[in-house]
Amino acid sequence: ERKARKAMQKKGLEQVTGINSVTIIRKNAPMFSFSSPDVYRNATSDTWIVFGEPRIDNLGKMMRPRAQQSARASASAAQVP
Amino acid sequence: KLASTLKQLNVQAIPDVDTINIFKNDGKVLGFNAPRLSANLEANTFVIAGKPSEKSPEQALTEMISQMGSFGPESLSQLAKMAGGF
Repeated sequence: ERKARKAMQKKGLEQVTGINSVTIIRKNAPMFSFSSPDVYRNATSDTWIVFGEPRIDNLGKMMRPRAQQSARASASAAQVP
Repeated sequence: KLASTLKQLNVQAIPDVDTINIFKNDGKVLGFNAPRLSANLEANTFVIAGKPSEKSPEQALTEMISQMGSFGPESLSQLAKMAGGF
């Protein structure tokens, strides 16, 4: 990580201050969230670099069993005339 | 130039990225819709390529909820934790 930071700073990225947290939401996959990460950005190419330890929140997985349950519930409800 | 540096960092593309929200201390949120994300998980380095748009935290949280579809108590408490920052 240190190497990466140094390389980035050499490339003239500006640090973005006042960042509270960053969340990355993915489809059907664990989401990443960072609390108080270091964020750098390159204005010319709209590239943002986030340094920090991500917390992996598996919201999607928590949802899936519930979805299956409700699917099963509606299936059994459909069988009842 | 930047791309070559990123190659040196050994980042890998992360698929299935839907939204990235950057929450700022002044209460504003920078939202990226369908950005390209690559990362080196060992180096804790994440690279986002895309144009952000500014939105309110309410908007960001509403979008998150709608993406989750139905949500359980676990995610609600997590949302509450996130919302606690504002």
